[in-house]
Amino acid sequence: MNDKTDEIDVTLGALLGRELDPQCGRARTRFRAEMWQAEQAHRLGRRGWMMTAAGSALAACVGLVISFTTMRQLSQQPAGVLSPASPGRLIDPANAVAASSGLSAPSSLERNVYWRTVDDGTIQRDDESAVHQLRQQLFEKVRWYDPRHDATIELTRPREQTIQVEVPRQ
Amino acid sequence: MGESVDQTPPASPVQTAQLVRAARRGDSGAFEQLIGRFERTALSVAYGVLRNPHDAGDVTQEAFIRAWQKLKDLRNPEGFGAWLCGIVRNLAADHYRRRKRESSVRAMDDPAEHAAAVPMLLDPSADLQQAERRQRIETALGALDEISRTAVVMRYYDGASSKQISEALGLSPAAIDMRLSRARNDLKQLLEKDVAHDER
Repeated sequence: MNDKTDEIDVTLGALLGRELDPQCGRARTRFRAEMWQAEQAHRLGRRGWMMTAAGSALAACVGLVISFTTMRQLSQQPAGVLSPASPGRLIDPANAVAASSGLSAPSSLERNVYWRTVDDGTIQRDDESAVHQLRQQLFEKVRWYDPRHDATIELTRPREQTIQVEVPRQ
Repeated sequence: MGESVDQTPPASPVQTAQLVRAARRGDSGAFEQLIGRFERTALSVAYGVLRNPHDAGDVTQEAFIRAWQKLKDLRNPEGFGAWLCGIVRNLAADHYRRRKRESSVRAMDDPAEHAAAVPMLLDPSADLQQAERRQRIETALGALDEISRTAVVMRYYDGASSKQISEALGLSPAAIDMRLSRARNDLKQLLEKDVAHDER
């Protein structure tokens, strides 16, 4: 190799170095950023799973209490329905039918209570604190047969209660 | 070779294999060491295809992320370098095609945009020396075919041996030597012409 070729070699190396050296280190920085993001996603996922598990357990407890209470009420009290004229007040459907028709009590009476829990996940409140929100939705359905009109009457009363569990700040 | 840059010394195949095995077990530190050892190689390969340093940097980043994700697919941990170069070449080829398509679409969409770019190139405050240097190297390297250009960049920038270049490019070391010799002669002629032109 002669001197001129060596000079070209050195020049070429220097020129390529000026072009490409500023790019060195970007791959490592990007890789670290990717690792950090993956770690954050993993942490959030784990926390989310724990929150879901805790929320589900809480919902199950609330559900058990409500169903137990409802069952007790059903066993202790006579069945009642909402009066369309005065929403929120329970009246005895047998009396209601008897009063309106002047006939004997309805022959068939059915009362059901359905409930479900909706997990809204973690939400932000106005004061910027985070809470895990669960909504307990309850549907009370009463159905009876009115022999005077030969019709089945059905009344439904929906209810909802919201439970918020505070998420501790980091 | 270029200006000194903080870089990890080249790894032996055994060290590379150890780092790959550690990285496969999820050791991100081991993978960072692999990045340190192979970043210049990856940049050389990407630059050989794209002839643009910034695009080469982008593709190199992407290639290492892809390699981390696909590390379990690598059958021979000692061949990490060659395997990585394959990923870089594929990504660089995709990038080149996409860039070509986008630039042709832009040219058709908005010719005014390209007209507006001309005064920027002629801006007297621009570093003319740097632009000339870049132009000179781009022209000289652009005259070579892709394989020869990649081999030249790997040799002159990364200091890679003919064996390493041959593994990365899938050719025999003798073929690489021949291409390097021919490319060196071509470059010598081209760059000498430019130097002579500058001196006048």
